[in-house]
This record gives sequence, structure tokens and C-alpha cells, in this order.
Amino acid sequence: MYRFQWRRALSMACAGMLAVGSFSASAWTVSLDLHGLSDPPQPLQLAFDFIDGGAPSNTVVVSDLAMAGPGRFEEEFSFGGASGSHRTSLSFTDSTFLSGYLADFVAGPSLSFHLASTSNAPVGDSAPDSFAVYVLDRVTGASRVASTDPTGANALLRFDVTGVSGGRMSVFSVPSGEVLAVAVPEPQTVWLLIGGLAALGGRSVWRARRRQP
Amino acid sequence: MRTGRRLAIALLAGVLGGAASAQQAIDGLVSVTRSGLVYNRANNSFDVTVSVTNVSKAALQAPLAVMATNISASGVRLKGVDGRTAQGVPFVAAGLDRTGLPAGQSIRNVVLQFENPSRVAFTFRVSVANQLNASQVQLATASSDMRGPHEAFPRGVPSNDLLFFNWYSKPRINLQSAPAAWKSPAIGPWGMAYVPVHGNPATNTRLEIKDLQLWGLCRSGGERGWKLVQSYPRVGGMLYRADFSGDASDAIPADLRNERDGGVSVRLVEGRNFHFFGPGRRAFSPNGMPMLARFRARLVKDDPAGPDDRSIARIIASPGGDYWKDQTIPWAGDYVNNRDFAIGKFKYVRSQYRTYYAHNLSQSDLLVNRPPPLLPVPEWSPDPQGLTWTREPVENSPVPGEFEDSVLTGDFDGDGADDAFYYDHRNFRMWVGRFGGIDRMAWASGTRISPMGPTCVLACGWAISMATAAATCSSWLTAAITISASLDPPRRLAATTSTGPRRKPPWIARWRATCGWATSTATAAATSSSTSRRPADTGWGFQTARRN
Repeated sequence: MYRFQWRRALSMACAGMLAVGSFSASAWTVSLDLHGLSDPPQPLQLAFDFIDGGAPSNTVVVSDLAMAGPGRFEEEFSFGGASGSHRTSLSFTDSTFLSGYLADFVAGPSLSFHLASTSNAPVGDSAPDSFAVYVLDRVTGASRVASTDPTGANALLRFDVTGVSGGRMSVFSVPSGEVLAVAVPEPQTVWLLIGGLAALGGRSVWRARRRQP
Repeated sequence: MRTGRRLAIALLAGVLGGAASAQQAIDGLVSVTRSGLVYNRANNSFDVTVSVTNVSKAALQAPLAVMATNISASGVRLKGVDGRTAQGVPFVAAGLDRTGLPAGQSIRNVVLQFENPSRVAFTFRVSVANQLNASQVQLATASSDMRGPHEAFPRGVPSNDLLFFNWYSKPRINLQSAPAAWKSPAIGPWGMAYVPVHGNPATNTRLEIKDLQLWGLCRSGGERGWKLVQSYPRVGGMLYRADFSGDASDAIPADLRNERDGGVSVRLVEGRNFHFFGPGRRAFSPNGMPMLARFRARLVKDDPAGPDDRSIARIIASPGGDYWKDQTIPWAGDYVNNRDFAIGKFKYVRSQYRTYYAHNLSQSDLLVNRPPPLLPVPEWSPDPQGLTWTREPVENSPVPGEFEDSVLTGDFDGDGADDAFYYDHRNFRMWVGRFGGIDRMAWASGTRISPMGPTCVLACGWAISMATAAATCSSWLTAAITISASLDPPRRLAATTSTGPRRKPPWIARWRATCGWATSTATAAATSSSTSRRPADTGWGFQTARRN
């Protein structure tokens, strides 16, 4: 009897967490190898675009934005539903159609950041909310490198909030070799939580069995 | 035999069921995934990539059109499109080769670009269409148009005269071929438009007709399948009495208006029907070839600034086609010199184009020989620079018969005499002739196309002027014209092309050899139908083009 209650409680907790969409989240570690742009240093601009594809709302948070070596960030600017700074973290909401963050920078050997988002799937005719990363020419505002992005927008990567665990990350290569983007998924918090609960439940069950004669 | 027939009908029923909804049918055969939008700074557009997977058990025929429909924001539109569907929906063609998309295969990264100057949030639906779907729809329409009762009965047509008006309540198939006694028969398509028996409350609505076509089904030789016999983007016609009493002598001119998309619109008058047709008949060998006539029609506003009452308008239309004893013989009473092969179902005309069919195929035969796809409207460049004029001798120029896909007649250059303007939309060539005075003739070709409209008339005038200059400078042309000046129009056209080698496309020769089309056409002779009773020399032409 005692063992049955623990199992049921554990199952309900897991099911409840999975059912609440806003509880699920996606997280990635992204790094950009900028060796091709750092020697000699060039006036560049880092651009993050977050585009609202329709209901429901999602939020993307960029944290730990760091430039290696002699590279440095200079002026930064955000618009739409974007806020924050590279020194702390950047938050993007889809309160407007296009939200963005622009940061002038002098390229170092590499750049990295963490990317986390909610995972609310698009409904109806909505497209997935989309987050994309570009390296622009600071003077012209055009993309500094040509990537294999099929749209011709020359994004280095595009993250679509599909509602599926982890979202859909598309990393585009740069044929010239000037930039190399890498995105690595991080274990999701919810699965860590489920794992922890499962361990607790298992331990309780084990202890209950031990008490039984 | 019975089993085969049942099988054919069952298959047809299946196709009709599948074709009930045009876009959804193909959308059910594919699985579509799309990416999120990205901001393309180079194009100032918001782009999305689409992947289409064929989840059906058969290959999907190319081309595959990917469309964005139900765009929620009015200021957002698709840019960089490859074309528009028959319904006017812009689409991007998926990059498929001729084999199409095999079952289970995907095509990825079809890019849709959205213009969004206000940067407003929007949603959209991705829809996919292809020729297979269009074919199904055409098959369903052609089948339905020869079965069951009319959608409404034509007002003023005797309902109890089963001899001459047995088409009052339902479509009919009449002759399978021209009577054997007719030694040199000809053929031509036509149509009728009526107010239905319960009247038409709309006061600011016109009926627009477009793309009147006649097709023949060739069953023998190397050119099997549907062959285009005649095609008239713009039709002409008159307002006959509803029961055709008095025929053409009692008909009154129709208030015709050329529309921007290449059609012709008319206001219907109480007690009258608009009977329309093309300007010529085509010689025809009576070999039992099945025929199919069709046109497209929709409702347009009469006064663009006036109220839009198209939703309450009640107008019905139906196509048909006639065999004639020959190309020029006039109407001489019901079923004397002409008899129809079919009269199609009267269907309501809507705000969006509908296609109207009449044919003399059985349902099972139709399933095997699906209707030909709707051809794009032949278009001509209003820009004279898009035309390339040749100075080849007349005897080496293409014969008018190759240009007779469509013929426009009218006083294009404003000199008070009718001119003729033939064009061959397969090869984007045209022939400019003259009916009244015989002093101008030449041909030209061009590759640039754009919508036909009033500017086309200007282009024609320019073309004729150029032809005049060519005639002045070229002795060969002058000589040919002088020779032909004493001949009537059909003979003249034949004479100018009877010497020297003809440059026919190979399919023309094969088609005529196997399907029996004669090489001459009485393009200037007026067409009439079993119901029209119109004299052969009314010369209605397209004079109304100048009213705009």
C-alpha cells in the first residue's frame, strides 16, 4: 500500500510537469569561432533577431555572452521586445514582431553564449518563433559573411521554438571558413528535476522494502 | 463490358470525391514543415523555408506550387513569386525535375519571402498544389457539367418544346460527328448566358467571359490526346431573344466591355440572352472525333465606384459547339446547316472564375481522356520593343493557319476598316493582316509577354504601321499583297501562303495528318450556332474594344 502511493505521486508529478508547456524549456551552448575575422581586427556587429511567428508567446534568454582574447564589445543597442546587456543577460520576448539586439564588437578568436527559451509550440497558422544570429558589417549593416542559410539571409544559426524538447537548431556553415558556429544542447532543467524526483522515489521505495519483514 | 463500365464509374466517383476541394486535396497528399521567419537584410524581407514531403503512395507531378495563404495581415504579401494559380494565388515553384516528387520523398528549403514594410506580426498557411490536382478538378467539372439538371433554368426558354429546347432543364450530348452528307464540315464553339427563371436582382453586375476554347480528342496516329482547335480569350456576341425567335435579325448589340484581365464583360438585358462565340469556324474532317468546348466566366462590377451587389446577382451560363456544313455557309433554320455536338450545364456565375464545359464524351471515356489543362491566356506585349519584326518573304513566313489559336478583329488603327490580328501563343508570334484594304500585312514575333489590355490595341496599331513601312520598303511584300488584293479574305490568306516552303512546326503537320484538320480556315467568316441564326457577314469583330 505504501509503495503504491509513492509510485502514483511520482507519476502524477512527472505528468503534470510535462503537461504544463511553459515548464518545459530548451537550452543550448553556442560558440562562434571567429579566427577568420579577428586577424586583423575588423569593425563588426553582432546581431540577434527574435521574430514572433504568432501565438503563443515565447521568451529567449541569452546569458554568459563572452568574447575570448583581445576581442571586446563596444556599443550595444536593443529594440522591440529585447532588453538587457551583454554584461548581464539579454532577454527577448515576442511582444513585437521583430525584436533585436545589436552590439558593435572587435572580434576575438571566439565568442560564446548560453541560449535558453521557453518551448511553447505554435498553434493554428502560426510559424515557430525564431531566434537567429548574424555577424554584420558595422558600416553597411549587411551580413559580413555568406553562410549556407537557404534563405540567403546569411544567418549563422537559427533556433526555432517548435514546442518539441530542445527546439530545432539549424547551424549554417560559412564556406569561406571565416566563422564556424557550433551549438551544443544542454540537459534540460525539467529532466534534471524528473531525474531527481525519480531518484528520491526509488530511494523511498527501497527503504520501504527494507522495513518490511 | 458492364464490369469495365462500373469500374470506370467507380474510379470517376473516387476522383470526384477527391477533387471536391481543390487545394486540400493535394495538401492531404503532402506533409509540410516550415521554419521560423528570419529577417533577410539583403532583400528587406522576412523569409521562411518550407519542406514538402510526399506522403501519398504515388509520385506527385511537377511543377509543385508552394503558396502562402490566409496571410493574416493585409500589408504583408509574398514577393519573388514564380507565378499565380488560376485562382490568382501567388506561388513559388518547388525546384523539381520532370519526374516530380516520388512517394515518400521530400523537397527541402523552398523559400517563401514576405514583404512586410510595417513589420507587423502575421500568420499564414502553407498550401501546396500541382498539376495533378488541377487535372482532378477539371475532370470533376467536365464530368459534372454534362450530368444532372442545370443549377437554374434559363428564363424565357420554352420549357415544353422538347424538339428544339430539350436543353431547357439539363445538359445534352447531341452529335458524335458531323453528318456524313456534309462533305466539308466546319466547327466552332459558343456559349449562352441567361437570367434564371427567378430573376436577377443585381443592378451593378456584369458577366465577364474569357477563354472560349474548343478541343478535339485525337485517338489515332502519333499525336493522341486533346488538341486545341480554337481559342478566343475575348469573345464577341449579341443579345438574342431568350427563345432565339427572330435570330440575328432580331438580336441587339451587346454592351460589351473589355476587361483588364483579357476577358469581355456584358450587361444582360431582361428578356434577352447573351449568345457569344469566336470570329471563325475551323474546317474539320468528320471522323467521329470527340469535341470539348469550354470557357471561364465570373461576375464583375458594372460601375467600379458603385455598390458591389455581385453576391445577390443571378446569372447562369453554358457552353456548346456546332458542326457546320462548311466554313462560310450562313444559318438557314434550325438544324439545317448546323447542329450542335453538346450543350453544357447552366451554372451560376460567381465572383470568382468558374469553368464551364460541354462535350460529347461518355463519362467512362472522359475518365480515360482527362480534360486538357487550362491554358494561360495568350498575352501580348504592349511594348512594341518586345516584338522582333522579320523581313522574310511572305511565301516563307508562317501560314496564318498556325496563328489561328486566336484572332482579334477590329479597327485597331482607327481608319474605319476592320483589321485582323492573329497570334500563336505557343511560340509568341503574331500575324497582322487586314480585311478591308489589302495593303498591309506582315508578321512578327516576340518573347516578352505582359497582360493584354487596352494598350494591346495601341500595340496593334503600331504593328500595322510598321507593317505598312515594311510593305513600302520591301518589294516582295508589295507584290504579294498586290496579288492577293483581288481575293476574298480566306482565299487571299491561302494565296499568300501557297507558294514556297512553309515553316510549320512538326506537330502541326503530324496533327493534321493524323486527325484530319484542313489547312485552311475561314477566319473572316462569321460563326454562328444552331441557336444563333446569325448571318455570316455581320462582322461584329471586337469594335467594342474602342469603347474603353
